[in-house]
Parts: sequence; C-alpha cells; structure tokens
Amino acid sequence: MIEEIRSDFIDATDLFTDILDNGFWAIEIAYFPSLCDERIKDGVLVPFSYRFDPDEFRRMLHSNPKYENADNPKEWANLLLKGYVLLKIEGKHYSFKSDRTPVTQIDIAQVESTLQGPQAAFTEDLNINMFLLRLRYNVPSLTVEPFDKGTLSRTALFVVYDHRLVNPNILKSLHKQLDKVKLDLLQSSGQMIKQLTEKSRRLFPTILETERPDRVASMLSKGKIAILINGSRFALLLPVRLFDFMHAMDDEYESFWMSRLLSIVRYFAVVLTITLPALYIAIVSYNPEIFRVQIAFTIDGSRAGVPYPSFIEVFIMLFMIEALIEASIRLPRIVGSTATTVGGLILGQAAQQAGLVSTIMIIVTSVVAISNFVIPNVSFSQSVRLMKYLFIVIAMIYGVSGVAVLFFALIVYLCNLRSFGEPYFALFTSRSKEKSNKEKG
Amino acid sequence: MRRARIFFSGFALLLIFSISGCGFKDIDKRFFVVAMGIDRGSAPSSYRVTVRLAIPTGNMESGETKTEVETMEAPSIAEAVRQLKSIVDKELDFGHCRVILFGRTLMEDGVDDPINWLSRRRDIQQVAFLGMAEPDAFHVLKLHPQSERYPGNALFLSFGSEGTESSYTLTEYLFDWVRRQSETGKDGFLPIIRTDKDRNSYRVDRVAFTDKEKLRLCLDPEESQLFNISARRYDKAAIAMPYQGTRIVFALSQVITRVSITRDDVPTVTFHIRASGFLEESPPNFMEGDIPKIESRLQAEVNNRLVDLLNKIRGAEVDPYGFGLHYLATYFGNTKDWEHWKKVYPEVVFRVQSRIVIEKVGLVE
Repeated sequence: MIEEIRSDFIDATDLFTDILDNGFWAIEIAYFPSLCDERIKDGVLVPFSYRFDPDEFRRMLHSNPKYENADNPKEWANLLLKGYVLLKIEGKHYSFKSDRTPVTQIDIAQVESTLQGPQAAFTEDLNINMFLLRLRYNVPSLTVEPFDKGTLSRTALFVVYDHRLVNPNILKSLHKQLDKVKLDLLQSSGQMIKQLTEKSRRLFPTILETERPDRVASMLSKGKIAILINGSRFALLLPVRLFDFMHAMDDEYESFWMSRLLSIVRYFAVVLTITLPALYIAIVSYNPEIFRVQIAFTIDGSRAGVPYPSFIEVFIMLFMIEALIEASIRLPRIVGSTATTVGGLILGQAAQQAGLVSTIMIIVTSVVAISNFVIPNVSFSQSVRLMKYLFIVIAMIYGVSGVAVLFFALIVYLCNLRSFGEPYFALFTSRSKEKSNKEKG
Repeated sequence: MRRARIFFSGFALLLIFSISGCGFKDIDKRFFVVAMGIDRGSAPSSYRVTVRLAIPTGNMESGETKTEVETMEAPSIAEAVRQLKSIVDKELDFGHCRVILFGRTLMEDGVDDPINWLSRRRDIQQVAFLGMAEPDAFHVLKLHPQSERYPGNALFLSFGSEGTESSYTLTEYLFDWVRRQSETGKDGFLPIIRTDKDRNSYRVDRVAFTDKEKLRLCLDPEESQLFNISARRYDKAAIAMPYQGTRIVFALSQVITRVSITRDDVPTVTFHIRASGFLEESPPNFMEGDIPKIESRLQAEVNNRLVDLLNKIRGAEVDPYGFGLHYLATYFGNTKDWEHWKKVYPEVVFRVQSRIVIEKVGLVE
C-alpha cells in the first residue's frame, strides 16, 4: 500500500508513512500529520502497542464506527486528503477517521449585528454551523445534502432545506446549477453566488448571503433553501425577493410599530441614496423652480464660488466619500480612525471653504453615505451604491424627467429579475400558491 | 450577431447622447426673477416690463437682501424680455416669479396680450399671484422693504397664506384669473397693491374688479374685506359696528354662504350667509349680556352693508361672485338664458339673509 500511495504523492514530504511492528503484527500506516489530530493515539497506537490483543483489535476494527473498509485503491488519495488515516492490517485496508477540527469559538455577528436578537454568527466550520442551525431549526424533516465543489479545494458544502416546505422545482434547478459549477478553489460564498446565478452580470444580488443562523432558520421555515459552505462564515439563501435584502432580523424582534417605522425609514433611505445626487444635478441645473424660493437662493449663493458645473461637483464629493468608505474597510482598525478623521474634515468643512463644492452638496453627500449604510445587507447595499452613478449620468443629460424615467426603468428591471424562477420583486407571496406547488411536486 | 449587437447599442447610445433635456444651466448662472411688472409704455400700444431680480448671497439676514430692478420698453412683452436679457449678465429665469403686477393704466386699457404671453410661457408658474399696482408696477417693484429676508419675500408673504393673513388682502392666482377671463357669468378680481406712505412696505387692502376686458370698479378697504368674507368665505376677518357708545368687534371663525336665484323675469338673488365667531371687543362689564340682541343688530348691519356692496358691484356691471354662472348652472343655461341674464342683470334684486352666531364672548378675566 505504501508504495502505491507514495507514487501518488511523489513530492508530498508532509505525508507520513511507516510500517509499525509490535512483535505480533506488522501494519502499514499512512496519514498527513497536519490534517489529523491526536485521536490517532487512542484509536490506533494505544490498542496496537502496549494494550495489544489480536482479538480485541479485530473486534475494534469491526465495531468502532470510525474504522471503515477502504479496499478501493482509487479512493486512498482522496481519503488521505480529507484527514483519514489509512491502515493495512492483515492484508486488508482500513481507513480511520481522525480529521483535525480546530476548536472554533462561536463568534458574534459582525456584519449583520442586531441590538437585542441572538448575537451568534456562523463560523468557518461546517459542523459548528450545522449545530447552530439545528439549535434553531430542529425537525426530522430538515434535509441535508452534502456536496463537494472545487477541483482543487474540494470544499464541502451542505444544501439544507425542509423537505415538507421546499418547492421541488427550485430544488431541481438548484441541483442543475450545482452540477454546472466549475471552480478550482471554492473559498467564499461569494464565488458560489457567481456560479449559481445564471446571468452573472446582474445589477442586484438574487441570492442572499447571511451570517446569522436565526435568519437562515426563519427562511428555512418559509420553504427556502440554504447552502452552508465549509470555510465560509456566510450561508447562502435562495430563492429570495428584494424585500428579504431590506429585512433586518431586528424587524422580527422589535415591537410591531417600531419595526414598521424602521423598515419604512429603510426604504425611504434607499430611494434617497439612489436618487439624491441625481436630483441635485437635475434640479440645480435644469429645473430650479422645483425648490422653494429660499433654498433656491441659498444654493445659488453657496454655489456662486464653485467653478465647475454641478455634475463635476457631485463627482468630486462622491469620489471622496467612496474613497473614504473603501479606505476604512481595508485599513487596519488602528489606522482606520485617522482616515475617517482626515476624510471627515475634508468632506465636512475644507472642501466647502475652498470653494470646491457648495454647502448643500455636503449635506447631499452625507445623506447619501449614511442612507447607504442603513441597508441591512452588504451586497445589496453595494448594488445600490452602484445604481446612483447610473442616475447621475442620466440626470446630467436629461434632468428631472430623465431621473423619473430611469426610476421607472429600474422598477421594470427589478420586475424582470428572477431568483431561481421566482419573481424577485413580488410584493407578496401567497402561501396557498406555495402549498399547491409543493403538492404538484 | 454579437458584433451587430455592439453596433446597435453603440448607435442607440449615440442617438441618446444627441438629444438632451431642457437646457443645462447651473443655478448660479441664472438670474431669478422674483416679481414682474407690466405697465403701459410711453409710446401708444407699447409695454414697459419691469423685473425684480434676486441677487443671492450665501447667508441671509433680514434687510440685507440685494435685488436689482431692471425695466425695458418694447412694443410687445416678449420683445421687452428679450431685450432685458441683453442688459443682465445671467440667464433670466421666471421659475420663481411668484408675483405678477399690472399697472393701473394698463388695466384700464385691458390686459389680453399680457395674459396671452403669461399663459403661453412654459416657465411662468400658473400659481403666481396677480395684482394691480397703483400708480404703476415700476414704482411698486422699486420699493425695497426693510424686513425682506430673501429677495422678494415681502411680496410673496403679503399675498400667500404663509406670512400675514389679512382679511383686506385678496389673493388671486394666474390660473384662476385666466379661467375667470374665459368663464361665462363670472368675472375676475385683482388685489390692488400700493406702496405705503413711508415707502417702506406694501399696502394691499383694496380690490379691483374687471369685466372680460378692462378695469371697472375699485372697492375701498372695508368693502374689500366684506367681499373677501362673502365671496371667498374668508374667516380670519372681523365685522365691527357701533353699540351703545362703544364699538363691537365680531371676529369670525367660520363662514358659510349659499346663493339661491329665482327664475323670474327679473331674478332675485338671495344671498345666505352664516357666520359664527366670538366678540373680540365689546362694552365693559358685558359678560353674558344680551347676546341675541347683539346678534340681530349684527345681522341687520351685515345685511345692509352686503346689499349695498352687491348693488355697487351690479352697478359696475361686473360679476365677481359668479351669480351668472350660478344662474346658468341652476337652470340648464343655454344661450338664450345667458342673453336673458345679461339683459336683466342690471336690475337684479339682491336680498341678503345673514345669520350671526356668537359662540363665546371672548376670554375676559
């Protein structure tokens, strides 16, 4: 056995192979020490060395669930890479499961934090993630389908759903998409999203990424499918609607009126962050009569020193704010505060005093930036961040009517989007329809 | 296929970029006209157009605003505006022109042409306030009140309901006036705006009536207020009358009016008015005094004054209340009915039935 394995792993110097001889038996052993943990000692070495009893050892081989027959030489390499120990005992081949699982602490949610909801977030370990999920959604009908994706990384992933609730058509199309996945390295859930989305150049995400087990549990109870990926803090949920991206878990925990108010504020913020810079251009440069007289004169006065047309002004400020956001994500935490202070000073005061932008533009920029952070989902928030530039370009050319038409076009586009065959912009889904789907399937 | 697609999308983009919105012009390159005045020019059938332009400043303090008044004479308003553009450094923008004034001499001749121009221009707001300026629009617009916080705001505030709400000030919008000009059986009215004696503020306390062509009648302030109450149901007004040596001031809080017209040879117009309110001034130690008596005295007073006013308006052959329209609307008016109404309108009998309700006597400690 050792020779065959060695021939597969010619240059893998971290592979450990040896022939162990305790005076009675000689067994061949092969494993990667870096992938295996200390369980080898209790499971193999101790029974084989000073506690050796041939009958007991044979009994152990048949009764311990960690031992399995591994007589197919084609699987050996694969097993070794997964952290199994290969043994050749009395001419038969066995594998012993001893994969190393680092002890992972359950982290608190960082990207989607809540005030009073559960603080736990998914970890990068698949089994702990499954535990977190089972903790919240524990029914016999919960189905877990394991998959391996990535030709090099062989990342394990679980497709999880409640088979009583799931729509079989969606499940079928998911399986079809999973078969098509072509990846060498699957390292993050984002890559999986790109692979699963049919048209990868969509303006809006159609698969929801979340680090919150409670969100996954509540979505499972609505018949959605979750994909957990080993090594990723984020689970994928599908099919989703636009409104799922705008839904914060706090909405389910806060009091009724407060959560309604907050979600209205959120939608209002999205509309603002998309249209405000464009409307600034359109109103300032095309139709100043939309303003009230006072604000028209104030803007007029504060713009008097600005040498550039309004859209250049908007681009200057938006470039600064985008650069600031980018910098504060990438920079280490210690340097991060410096960037925000400097940036804040420039955006807040100096740019206006230097006569580069008007006072109102600073307010517009801050409203745009703050409103963008109100969106609970990161990938959706980035889509929205991108959308505003489209609006700005149109506002430059067509003014207020252009903004209105583009907003209409945006709604048409959203209506056209599908997430695994389900309408993306559906205002409400009827439970009866979901049920009838299930019965048909 | 792919190539054709790229070609077509490029072509579409080209087409898109070649069309554009209604003129890109930054707000600081525009000169906002806050008020506009139209007078008769020195030459016959010429116009003198006066515009009050706002010069914005970064921060606005009371009395610090700067405005510029430009005036130009031309055979037509459109030409005058074109020529005005040549003497200012920025593009004229009528988007914020909230007040349009006609000079009195122009009103006496008729304002068909100016109204025509005003309703055609896209950038003239139909919600602009109209007024008649005495002696002419140029002198009114030249006035620079101390209290102005931003250019033109004293004028806006006098007319609109945001600032002062005076029962003597009537408000007329451009759209309403244009409608009244073309409506059968209803005539227009305009507030008269004058400069105050100390030349520091505007004075808007009278109203002018026009028929379909020109100015016919001007009311004095008391009558203007009564017109405002009866025709516009304006309830922030007061009715005063002498009573036992002092004066009683009845402040209105609600006014309801109703008109009924009989179909006789000479129709009788009955004007019902119900006003409720409280006493703002009354004799001392009045307390819960003789309220019914005061009510009936007030009713008689209102009846008399209103009948006088209606007769005066009828005498000038104008119909700002819209009695003619009401008549036609009530009796399936056809052309013959309208001819009949026009013929008999100078002899129409007015009756006023008022009902005054004193709800409380005011808070007296």
